Amino acid sequence: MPTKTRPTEKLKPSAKIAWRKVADEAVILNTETAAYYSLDGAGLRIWELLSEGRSIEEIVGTLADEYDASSEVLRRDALDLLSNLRKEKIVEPA
Amino acid sequence: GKKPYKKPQLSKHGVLSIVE
Repeated sequence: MPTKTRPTEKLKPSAKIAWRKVADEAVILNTETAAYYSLDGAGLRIWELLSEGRSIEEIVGTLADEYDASSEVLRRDALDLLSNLRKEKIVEPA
Repeated sequence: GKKPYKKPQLSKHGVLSIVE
């Protein structure tokens, strides 16, 4: 069963991940499976903050300052995205 | 003073193949 991501958790890019910011996107490569992905907009911002070692709650707080959406919506969407990143083995517990 | 928000989505583009 997939692990549910909790708001208090800290996640980090997995050791097998290589990524670069290209224009306004994060291009992410899983060096083990050779699968590649991209994130843009708020997804890119979440990824940058995650890479800086921020917790999910800190990320939601930063997004709330920058984006025109409520904290509830931002938290729900961030957790959805992080669960997806976890399922694809792009992030792991910090 | 805020950016318009759109739900973030992970886009998967496929698997890279190495050509020797």
